Amino acid sequence: MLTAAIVGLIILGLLGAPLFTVIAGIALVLAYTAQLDIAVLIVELYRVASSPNLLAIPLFALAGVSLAQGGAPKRLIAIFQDLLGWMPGGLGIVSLLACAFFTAFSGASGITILALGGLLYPMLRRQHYNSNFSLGLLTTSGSLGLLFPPSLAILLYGVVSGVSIEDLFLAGLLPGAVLIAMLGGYSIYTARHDHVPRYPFSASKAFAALRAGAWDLSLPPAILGSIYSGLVTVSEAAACTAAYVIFVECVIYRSLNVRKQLTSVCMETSVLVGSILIIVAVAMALNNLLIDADVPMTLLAIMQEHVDSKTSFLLLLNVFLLIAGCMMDIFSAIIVLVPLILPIATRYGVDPVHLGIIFLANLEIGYSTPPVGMNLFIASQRFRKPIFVLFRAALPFLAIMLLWLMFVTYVDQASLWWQSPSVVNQSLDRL
Amino acid sequence: KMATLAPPGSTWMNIIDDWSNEVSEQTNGAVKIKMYPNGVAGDEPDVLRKIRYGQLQGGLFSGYGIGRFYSPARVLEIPFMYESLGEVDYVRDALMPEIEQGYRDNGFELIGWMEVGFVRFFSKNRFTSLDELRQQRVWLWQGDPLASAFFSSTGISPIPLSIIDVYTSLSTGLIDTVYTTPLASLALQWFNKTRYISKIQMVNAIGSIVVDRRVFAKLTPEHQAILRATGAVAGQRLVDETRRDNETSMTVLLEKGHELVLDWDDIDLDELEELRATAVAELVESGYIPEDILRRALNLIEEYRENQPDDDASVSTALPH
Amino acid sequence: MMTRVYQLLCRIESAIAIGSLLALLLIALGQIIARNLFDSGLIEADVLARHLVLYIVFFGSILAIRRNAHIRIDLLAHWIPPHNQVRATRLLNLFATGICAVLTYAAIKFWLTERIYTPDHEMWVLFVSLVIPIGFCLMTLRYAIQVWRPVEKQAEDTHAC
Ligand code: NA
Ligand code: NA
Repeated sequence: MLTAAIVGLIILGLLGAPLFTVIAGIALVLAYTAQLDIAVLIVELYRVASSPNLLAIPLFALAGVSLAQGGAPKRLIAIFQDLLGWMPGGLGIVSLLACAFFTAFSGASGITILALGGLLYPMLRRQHYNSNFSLGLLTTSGSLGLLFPPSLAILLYGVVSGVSIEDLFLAGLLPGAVLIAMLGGYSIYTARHDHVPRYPFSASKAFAALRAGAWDLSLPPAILGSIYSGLVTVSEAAACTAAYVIFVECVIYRSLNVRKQLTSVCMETSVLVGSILIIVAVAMALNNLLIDADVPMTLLAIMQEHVDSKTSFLLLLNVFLLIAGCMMDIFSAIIVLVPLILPIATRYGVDPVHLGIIFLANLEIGYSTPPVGMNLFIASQRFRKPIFVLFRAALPFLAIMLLWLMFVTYVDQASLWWQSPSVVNQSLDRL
Repeated sequence: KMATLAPPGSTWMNIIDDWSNEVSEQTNGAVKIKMYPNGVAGDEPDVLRKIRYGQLQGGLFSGYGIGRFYSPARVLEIPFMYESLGEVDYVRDALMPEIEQGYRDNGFELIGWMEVGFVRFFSKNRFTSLDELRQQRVWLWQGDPLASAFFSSTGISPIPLSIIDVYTSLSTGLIDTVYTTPLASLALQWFNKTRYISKIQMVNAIGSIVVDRRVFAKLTPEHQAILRATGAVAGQRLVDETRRDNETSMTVLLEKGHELVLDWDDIDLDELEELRATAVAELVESGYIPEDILRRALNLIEEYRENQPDDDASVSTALPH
Repeated sequence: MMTRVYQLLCRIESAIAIGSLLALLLIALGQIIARNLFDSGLIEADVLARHLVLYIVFFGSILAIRRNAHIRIDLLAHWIPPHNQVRATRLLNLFATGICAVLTYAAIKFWLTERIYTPDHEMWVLFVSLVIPIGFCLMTLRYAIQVWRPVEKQAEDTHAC
């Protein structure tokens, strides 16, 4: 009976019922089965209002949406093009960097492909990059940057897992950079292979670009710098970033009209935040009932029976997360899966910070994995190409990303290099 | 089903585990206690809500949680009012019938009295005076009128947070100073982030094991008696071992390189007396601590001091360090 | 008349969403200035800011219903034959209405219980937390409107506000 109800709800979800209603439905069924007062659901949901770190999400989202509507995508491409266009595979690298920068602010909600893809695709084609490479690059880049601060996905993982967001920001830097370097290398290789023409470097142009883009480009280092110098906390940094971006867009670039567009920016942000955090809220309620029904303990027992080493656990985790990543939205995946997987992973000796990076890396790849990765559908719509064309175009990129995933998963020092060994030991002792 | 903030493996949880085994044994499995440790059920107000809706049947609460159903009990933990543990014990014993009744009237059965221990400030930054303390980003257990009154009379503007968020917030720098006991700072890992510990101790924080009155009433008289008897024993063990482990924890912390700052000499005792008066007046005014119970506590303290003429040390020396 | 009431509702919802977001930004900035420059700050402001997140969540959620922007995992949606699309959407909206209605009930019950147990000094927080029952109630209303209102009309509705 219980199983039937839950399966029914999941089918409704797969048919297109909003995810939060499905999660709330499952929570209601569990509460009913356990003969609990359903007001208990609201107790958990209300905890959204006590989480200090959640505050950063609407504020960073506000900054991201302001950037998008204020024409930052165009400016960014122009800057990177003047700075790096001279390199072999230059425009490919420009695309990677612009996408990563942008996704870090907007979250992997498809905005990157929609906002940047339309600009970059014609540029890439004009420079004689082949169509498959261009499509694959832009499709997979839609989730690139997930590991860079102030990515909403990292913030959410921090909130759900209770791991320090600062630590996660630091941990994501090197893995994220390695991925960009690997994909950049592939871009250089393709450009050489296809004899893409190179453009001469102009120092004056580059300098002009730097000056023009200083306001945008200084954002990530300013955010990181102010957080790590201890000047501000993560949510304070979010407030400053939002205020700064709105100021820059409205006053410096004058690309946002305060009266006309600020309301639309705020509405857009509320929709983005509301649609993500309502799932967080109901997932908290569901999680409470799962704990009540001893589900995490049962899962752990099953795992410990069948999986005996950290290595094989990590492999299994990757397979599972890749599947989840290509079927689920990235935010839902974090909210629903982290509370279940975190206690199991810590039992296998996986550092919670490292787990976060593995999580995000998998979801980033799952986003572009056939047959159902969300990026593929968005790209198919945006570039008006049949979906199987995008499957093929994405394959070489996916191969590179899988290689990178192995690196991220098994070389935990790539994520944890900044921790002193004693800290690592202490966090292990805690478990 | 009961809940506590104490993490597994801590002194508190070990005693609680023993207690729940004992209860299960004596009642032949008719009464089983399942404890959700480590704050998985949420902060104390969340646990209280879950008890109301029947998801949980009881829990371990500190003075903060107790204050949310029977605040007069917190007369036992007014900072700088008691000069020795003897005084605290004396006042508590005298007020106990009233406290038990107060819990009962508000829907809870007191099963065991416990202590959290002597509370000190723990900070990332060195502070050697009240002025320097005011410049810190001090945690306030969100919605705690007692701490709030003391902070506002001291001139500290604290940052309200649920205890669940303290560890993360210490790492993000949202806060840099907390108030807690040495044992709790070790158990909750806060000590990792806070090197400087105040030598002065504010208060001996109280705690209770309580069970939902509705659930308790449904037990057979025999099981009620068992729960009470074993709970009292567990409570006494909790008091004794907490007192002892807080001392050992302090030694451990100092061995780990933590530093004691802000001694009694660094504080103007008159100023301290004044800010206590202001805070207490505020608490009485708001009805959080009723005036009559405060009077009685003060009278009892005086009574105790008169009967113990040789134990007349001042604040600075009477408190264990 | 109905159109007017409807448009008024739309305006109020949007205004609360926008207002909460801007208020959150202003309070956060105010606290930074107060804390870093004056070593002061209001406890109430922190608590209020965190509650504003709830306002953004609920009213953003309501806007998301209006724009059909809630996150879905509709892997099987293309199995629904085109001529049944409209009916299926109605059914899904009916389901969402039901869930939101039950959540509204739970939220009202929660709020009424909170009202009994909230200590005096936190009464203002209780009133701020009214957003939970009201938010769920409006979400229920929104989904109900979608059940009753043909899908193709939704674009017009959204356009109207
Ligand atoms: Na992202
Ligand atoms: Na996905």
